Amino acid sequence: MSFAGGGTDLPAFAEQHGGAVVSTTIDKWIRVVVSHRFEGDVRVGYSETEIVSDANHVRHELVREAMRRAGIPRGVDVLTLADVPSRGTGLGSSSAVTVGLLNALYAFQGIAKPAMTLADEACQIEIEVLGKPIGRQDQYASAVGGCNLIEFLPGRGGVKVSPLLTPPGTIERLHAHLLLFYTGQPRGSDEILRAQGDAVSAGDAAERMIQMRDLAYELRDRLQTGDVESVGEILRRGWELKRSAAGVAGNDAIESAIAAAHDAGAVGGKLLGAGGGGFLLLFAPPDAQVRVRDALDELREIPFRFAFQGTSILLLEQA
Amino acid sequence: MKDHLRGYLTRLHAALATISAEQLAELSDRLYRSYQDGKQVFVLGNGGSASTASHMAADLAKNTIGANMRRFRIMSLNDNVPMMTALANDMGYHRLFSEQLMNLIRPGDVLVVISGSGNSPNVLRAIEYARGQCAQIVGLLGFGGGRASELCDTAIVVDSSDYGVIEDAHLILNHILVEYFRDRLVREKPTHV
Repeated sequence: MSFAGGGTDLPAFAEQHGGAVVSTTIDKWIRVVVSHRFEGDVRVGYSETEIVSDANHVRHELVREAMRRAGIPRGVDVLTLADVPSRGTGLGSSSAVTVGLLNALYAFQGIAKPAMTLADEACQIEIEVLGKPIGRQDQYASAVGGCNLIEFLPGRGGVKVSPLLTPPGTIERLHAHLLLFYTGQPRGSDEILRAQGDAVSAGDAAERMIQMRDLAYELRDRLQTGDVESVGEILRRGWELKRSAAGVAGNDAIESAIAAAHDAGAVGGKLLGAGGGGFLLLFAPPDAQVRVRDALDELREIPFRFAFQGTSILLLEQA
Repeated sequence: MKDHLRGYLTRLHAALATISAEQLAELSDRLYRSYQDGKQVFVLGNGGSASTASHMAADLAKNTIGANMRRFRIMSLNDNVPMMTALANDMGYHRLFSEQLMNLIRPGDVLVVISGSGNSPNVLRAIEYARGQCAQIVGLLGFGGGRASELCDTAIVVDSSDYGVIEDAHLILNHILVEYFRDRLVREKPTHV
């Protein structure tokens, strides 16, 4: 769940200016099962089931590339189970799938890889091998876990993940101000991200993106002094910048939902992820939340908690 | 003699010229990634290919050593004479390699099979066992590749039906791989993690 700086992790921007985001992981898990398969071929289970001779024939591109990367050509069942739809939510779920697949496929071989390495390999798969126009924040967030400032250093400077050091109770108070709704609309993030990437290369949006990046540092500074109340305003400013930087981010239905939430007492709101649909995050003082829920009555509210653990192995059977 | 020299070199050159650079790149990437992930590589073969298997294991183990770098985990299954003779004597020559793999191989490890025909029963049995263990199979083959070529994840089939030429070509491939690895290790300097 990204609070500020989303989009500044796109390589086109980050390599030139350096990017930064503040995000947290939440308790919406992607579970991956890798199990030895007697038949010796490959079965992949998700919303569909594939049974194919080897990894190269798997249609699910993240599974295929993760198997190739990890060096498991065949002989496994690979299942993914997701608490939220595994694409188009803005919650970084497809990157969480990639990180989880890699972790599980390596653990199956007795290989324990550091979280940062898993994130790096997931980025290579999604961005370099599959050519997705996405940034790198979701891979690092889901691999490391927790509430972090994630910096994308300019040039080929790498990625730095720093946990937010907040006064006691800050994260709990922040959580008490947040509401999450599902807009139910497919996101089409690729077009928005491509537009954003093109805009960055064209230079016309770079100034706004720099402001978005600096909002991440401002948010970090506020939270580190325990100032939760400013977060709503930062979310609102970030959303306005994103709309103008990307040209499009929401649509009429989402804009009117955000406007209705504001009228009911919410201070800030934004679509998670690239925009276009998916999950809507709102910051509202606890005493305004009943009115906000009423105002968004037609949307499905998704209760969530912060989660402080990144990708992890739940069960490992020794062969 | 001159005719033999010219004739052999001509056939050797023709066979080497058919080696696909793309497949060699795929094979070397697979080996390099396995090296980076600390996986074990096993090499095996019969007859002349047995000596190539030993040779390759020695070359990749020793001639790729760099200061403070992870070393290549590679061994041949042709070097333990007591084990080989015991297995062949007690269990049959066709189980020579598969039985050794049952002691050693783990999921994701790499099996390099060197076989002119690609049809030796002990090689095929080793491949089948390794496949069942989710290992990666790499082949250096000859003739048409035989049955083994269908079971490998990456195979280089030397286009010849002359055992001498095929075996020479496999040894040349070994030396190309060693040179490639040495250069890549110097360039990328993977740390010992």
